[in-house]
Amino acid sequence: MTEPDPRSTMTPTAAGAVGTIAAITLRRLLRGRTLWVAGVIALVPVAFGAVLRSVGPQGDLADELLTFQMLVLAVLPPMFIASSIGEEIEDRTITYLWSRPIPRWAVVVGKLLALAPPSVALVVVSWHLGCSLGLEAVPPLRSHLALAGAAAVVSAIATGIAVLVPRHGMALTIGYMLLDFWLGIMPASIQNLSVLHHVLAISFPPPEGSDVLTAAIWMAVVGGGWLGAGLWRIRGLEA
Amino acid sequence: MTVVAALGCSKWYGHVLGVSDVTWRLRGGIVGLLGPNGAGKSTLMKMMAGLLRPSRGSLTVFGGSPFDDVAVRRRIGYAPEHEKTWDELSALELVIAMARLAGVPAGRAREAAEAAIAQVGMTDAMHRRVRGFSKGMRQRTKLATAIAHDPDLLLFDEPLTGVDPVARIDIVERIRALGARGKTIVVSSHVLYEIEALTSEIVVIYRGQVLAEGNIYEIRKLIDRHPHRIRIECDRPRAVAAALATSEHVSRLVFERGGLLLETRDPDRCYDEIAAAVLASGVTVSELGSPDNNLGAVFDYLTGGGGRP
Repeated sequence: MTEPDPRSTMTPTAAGAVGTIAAITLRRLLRGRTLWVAGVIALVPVAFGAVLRSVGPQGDLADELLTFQMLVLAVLPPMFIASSIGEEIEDRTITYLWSRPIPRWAVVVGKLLALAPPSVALVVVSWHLGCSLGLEAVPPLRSHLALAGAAAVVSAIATGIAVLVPRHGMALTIGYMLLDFWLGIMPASIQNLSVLHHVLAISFPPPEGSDVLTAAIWMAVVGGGWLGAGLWRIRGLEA
Repeated sequence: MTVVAALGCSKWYGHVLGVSDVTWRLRGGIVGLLGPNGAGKSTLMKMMAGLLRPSRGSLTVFGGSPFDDVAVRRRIGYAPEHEKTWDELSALELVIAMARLAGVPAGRAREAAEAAIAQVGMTDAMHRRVRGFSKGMRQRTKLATAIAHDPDLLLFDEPLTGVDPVARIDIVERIRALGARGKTIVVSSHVLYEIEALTSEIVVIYRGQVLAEGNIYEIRKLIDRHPHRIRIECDRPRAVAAALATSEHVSRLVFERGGLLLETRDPDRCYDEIAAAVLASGVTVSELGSPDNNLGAVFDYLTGGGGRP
């Protein structure tokens, strides 16, 4: 049995640990190169929009621009999150964190909370600027919301995969998102597993309409599933 | 009070053995964990720090499992062997973050971090980013992250690796000062004199097993089945050799430049006979000592001579 520790009240709360890790992660992001590289990648759809403008505003190319944006969606969140978690485990700096009196999942959740918002922001801003430059009219707000939700979900997927396979988390997540494209053209029951399919369904619903709530739930299920797998795995992960 | 208790503790990495059936009890003080690279020191340290779970047996710290019990880890300060850390942060930011994660309240974290940094002699560089630090500065910063929350058990894994001689002396003194304040400290090293400079209490680990533990002199008793060497530097070694040649406690005599090296299985009696022989022969002895009273010789004996780095 553990002997009573007179300073046990000093054991940090899980929320406090998550907040501290999120703050460290964000500070490191702002001082590192990843944010700059991600910014350049996010500019690619903007450049595509500029090209469209140079040939004259296009009214019917929103789908194409969105498909282009999907590639950014498949790359940016893994670049932020999977690489951060993977490096932490591979470089063994995780030993600093796991030797502290904090739950192991706090490390992953802290990183997710710090790195998902920049991913979301870059994906949405990139989409908005690309549309503003290349299309006659900016697509409806729901396309922005769909991409924002999808960026958050892909962040959760990247988190789960990075914990399961730290060394190749980023590459595997990008590969998974390419597979997600393919899932999106499969029969309906399998389509539901595709995040990108739901983004398209919400952004540009077919004439008969689409169930936004169901699409959002499916995205949450897919992201939650991967995140849950990562959080389950991390309980027993050793450093 | 038992700080660390390992009972039949083993750890495998797949088919590779980390430590094997270690039974060991640590009650306090500064203890040196000594062994060559790959002996299992870091594995044992990581199990104490709660980073690894034993594959078999148990290892408890302050009576609890460090892997599962966050309250136990609150009382542990761990400085890992590797140099990697968060290079984008300054030393102060890094130590503050570690202090916060160890449970130091936000309002006191900076004060605790600055005190820890001062203890390791890094105050002048605490606002610089870790990226530009030398190995010695990184080692000191790691030590500061380990002590900032005032833990009861400190685990320093190879804290002197890559450190220049002047810094090494300084770090050794600082670790000893922590020990003098009542902290229980485990320091691992594969360099014998580093441990010797820190403590006389050692645990010798080799190929995942604890070969010996205790005071260096107690360990020396364990190896008394091996010949103990005594070196006599004198002006007439042949005269001393003649006087000792018939002694039943001397098993071997070897002449060396400026002296005589003898081997015995009973050092205490042999020293008496040496004293008598020196007096009887009237030689002038300039130095008398045993090369076996340092950890290098002990380690060579215990590992069969094959494990000395």
